[in-house]
Amino acid sequence: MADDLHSLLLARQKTLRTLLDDLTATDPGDPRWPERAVAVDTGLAEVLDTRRDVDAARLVMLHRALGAAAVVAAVAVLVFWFSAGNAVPAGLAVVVGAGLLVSPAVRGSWEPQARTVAGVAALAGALATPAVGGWAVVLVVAGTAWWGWRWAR
Amino acid sequence: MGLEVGAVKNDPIRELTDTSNKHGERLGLIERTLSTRQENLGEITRRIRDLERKVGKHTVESALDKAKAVATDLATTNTRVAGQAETIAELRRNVHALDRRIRVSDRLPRADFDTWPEISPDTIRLIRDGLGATPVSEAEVLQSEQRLAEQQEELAHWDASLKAAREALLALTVATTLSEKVWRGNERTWRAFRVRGLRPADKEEQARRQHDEAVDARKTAKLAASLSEEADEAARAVIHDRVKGAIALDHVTPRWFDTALGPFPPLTPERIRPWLTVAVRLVRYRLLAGYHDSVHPYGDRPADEALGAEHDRVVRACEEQRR
Repeated sequence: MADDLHSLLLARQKTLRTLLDDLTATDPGDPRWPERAVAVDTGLAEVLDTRRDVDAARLVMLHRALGAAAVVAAVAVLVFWFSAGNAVPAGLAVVVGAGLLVSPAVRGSWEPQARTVAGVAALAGALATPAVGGWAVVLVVAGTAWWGWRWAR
Repeated sequence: MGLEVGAVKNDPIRELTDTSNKHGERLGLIERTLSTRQENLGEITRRIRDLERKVGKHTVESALDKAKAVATDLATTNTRVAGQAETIAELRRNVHALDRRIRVSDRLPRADFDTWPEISPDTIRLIRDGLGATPVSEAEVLQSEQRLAEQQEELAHWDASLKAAREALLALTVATTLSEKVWRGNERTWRAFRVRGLRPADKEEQARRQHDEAVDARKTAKLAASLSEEADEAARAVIHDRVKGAIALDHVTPRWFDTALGPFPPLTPERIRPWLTVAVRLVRYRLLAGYHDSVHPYGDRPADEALGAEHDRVVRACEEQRR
């Protein structure tokens, strides 16, 4: 799977190179220039999508591990340090960790790394909850927001 | 000794003589003093009389009388001078009229300043166009030049942006790294280029065309101005020659000419040149305005703005020459 994606990325990079050479060979005043520029846009979008898939495949195990760790840490907080304030960040960390474990399809060119950020933030938030209480929710929300922002674009 | 004193003491005649002598001496003294005082008094009286005489001569009344007399004299003189000036003006007019009659009766040729076969109607039109033309302005050319430079700069920016975007994409086609930073930076460079849209060559072309048009217009205007200037100079030369010739040969000048510029050309060497210039200008104005009245030099102010301005200038210049 990963090898397939890598060869797909290489193939698409090659296609993009061909399209770019076509565009370079065309005079900017040529009527065919706009459609070739659009073709380059499309080629670039495909290359970026493939790169994102490759990146996601590379990081999927890390994301699952982070998700699991966040869930475990959050559950531990809920069990051993339960309070109304602690329940908020811990509950949110459970949700984020579960999301990472499920690993839905990536969307947006730069999402894989944003998932890493969200996982780290959820884990750190869960671990920090006993020390700082409900304020840890800020960390978890920040990571989740970053993921959402990258997902939406 | 004691006897002698007693004898002297007892001599009454001697005493009486002494007393009368003393009184005589005192009387003499008093008389001298009196005569001195009398002399002083005489002196003072004489001085007072002198003063009285002097004051009497210079009384205020007499001064006023003198001033009145002077004023009367002045008024009389003024009246006489005014009368003489009028007489002189009358004499000048008479002399001028006589001069004309003599010259006419002598069958001296009359100067014709109204028909100019040497100056064609086309030339006159050219000069009139030049009179009304606005001066050639560099502003439009400079403005279009600036617009063209701006468009060219934008074009250069577009080309530079294309070059940068192409290099960024080339880097992505050979990239083996998955570093998000590198990919995102290069993608952003490409997107920034695409936001610029198509190459603004048509705008540059349009700016260039406008600039060329402005340059052409300026050239045409300059050419027209120089043609008009040349025609004007040639016409002035023709008029100048004829007027100068007529003056030099004492030809009888037209009445409107004399009315505008005075009966005679100036006799002082430094004034003849400006006088001739104004004379040429007057004849040129009549030619341009198509005015041929035999008595009135300029006629009414024309409706045409440029010609009207020239009319005013000519009228003013002629007035200055007549003065």
